[in-house]
Amino acid sequence: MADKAILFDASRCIGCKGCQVSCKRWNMLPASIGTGTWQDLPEEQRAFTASYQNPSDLRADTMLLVTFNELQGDDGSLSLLMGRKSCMHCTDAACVLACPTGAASKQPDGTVRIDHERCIGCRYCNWACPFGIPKWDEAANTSCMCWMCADRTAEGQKPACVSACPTGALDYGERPAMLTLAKARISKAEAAGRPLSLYGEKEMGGLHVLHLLQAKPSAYGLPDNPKVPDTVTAWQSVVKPVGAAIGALTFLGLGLSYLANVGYSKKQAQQAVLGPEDTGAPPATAEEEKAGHD
Amino acid sequence: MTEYLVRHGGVARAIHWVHTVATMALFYTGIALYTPGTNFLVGGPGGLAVSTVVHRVAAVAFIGAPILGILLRPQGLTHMLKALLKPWDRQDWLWMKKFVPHLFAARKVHLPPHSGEIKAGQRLASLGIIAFSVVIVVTGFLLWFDGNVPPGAVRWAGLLHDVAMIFLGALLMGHIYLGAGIFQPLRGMVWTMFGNGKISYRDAVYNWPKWAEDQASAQGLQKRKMT
Repeated sequence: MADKAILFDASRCIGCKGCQVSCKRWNMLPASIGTGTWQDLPEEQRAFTASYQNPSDLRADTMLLVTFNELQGDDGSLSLLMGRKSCMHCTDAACVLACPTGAASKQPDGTVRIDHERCIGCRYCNWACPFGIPKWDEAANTSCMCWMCADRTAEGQKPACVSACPTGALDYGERPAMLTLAKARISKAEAAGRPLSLYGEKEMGGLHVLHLLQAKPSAYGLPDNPKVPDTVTAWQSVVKPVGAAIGALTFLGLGLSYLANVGYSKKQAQQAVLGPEDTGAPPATAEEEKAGHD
Repeated sequence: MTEYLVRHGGVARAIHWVHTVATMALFYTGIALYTPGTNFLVGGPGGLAVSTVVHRVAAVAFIGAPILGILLRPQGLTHMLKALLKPWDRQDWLWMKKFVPHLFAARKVHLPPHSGEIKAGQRLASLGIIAFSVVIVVTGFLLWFDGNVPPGAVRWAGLLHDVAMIFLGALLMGHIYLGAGIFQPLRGMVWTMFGNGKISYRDAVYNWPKWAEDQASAQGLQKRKMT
């Protein structure tokens, strides 16, 4: 099966949040009101952010978030950059490496999915992801993130977010085709004097959510050079095998020690060192003790 | 008549009991995060959610028991640290040199008499257990309250938590093998810590001759009554 991908063109996004709502609707996720978001805070604790972004970050019940990013130009003018925050479906997925149970896994179409039946809620994927995507659902004790509407794509449909986009900012198809489309748009935009850059072609071995950006990635809250954290790599490729070896060698060593001393009782051991029990004899001399120990 | 010396006081034994149960619970509920082959350990009805809670309750007991012990009997901590940090003398090195051969050929290689209250190897292992436990406790708190900790620090905490667990696990396997008397020449010694804290004079002389001598006088035992 060819890898599939979503192409998000930030220059076409108007921040309508249609994709965000559609994601919630298709995946039957509740509204975030009443679950600890900004609206639920007491008046005095509501910091004015002047942002349309809501909720402020991804949550277990919000797998796709339209981000509103302000960019100050050299002349002091402000631009509003619309971004899309959701699972990037990395080829070299840190969450898959970090997951101790195999609940987070790569799918044949290149996407990443968390199997909630196998997830034990350890949050290792939450900590490993360089994009900060998976979120822990405390009530269900499982981590949640976009699964690229695998139930829809399996039936030949587009993911819910893509279907809902009214401006054509989202496209879905085979990854090579999405890359071709992205590059064609870059050429066109350059000709028009509105340069775009492609994010996701090589990052993390290749993302399955490609971004066409009008500014550098960090302006959208994306890491400029995302990579699998060294701690995750070390855990998987060093700590786990070395730990297993240490455990096995310790067990083996102690087992051999046991077998080597089968039949040698405490009584015999003490007799060899201290002499016979309760003889009523006077204390052993230093020489005798030394002889016993040798 | 068998005569006994008091080896471990009530507070020490209580802490050891709590630590034994808590450590077993922590390993049982934590190992599933380490290797998928053990995921079944935390399965079952309410398994995952219960395991998370059990791990944290056990962690609180693991930390709380020694703190309570120090509050109840602060001189116990001083005494323990003094014994553990005692500088190594020639006898310690001789003892250590023969320890591994003794483990694999106890019939032929006997350990030389030890001058301290705690054997050289036991001191090393205890210091290791304490050090790795501290790492586990600190990193465990960072993992528990991960919402208030930067992601990079949480990732390091997770890694160090596992590394410390590996070394602590290996040390504890050795500790159990020797302390629980699975190693034949030490059979029955387990009841000193898990029972009434007393050890027969003969067992004491075999393991810590100098300590046994000193304690026999201090505790009013008839010297050299090795029964």
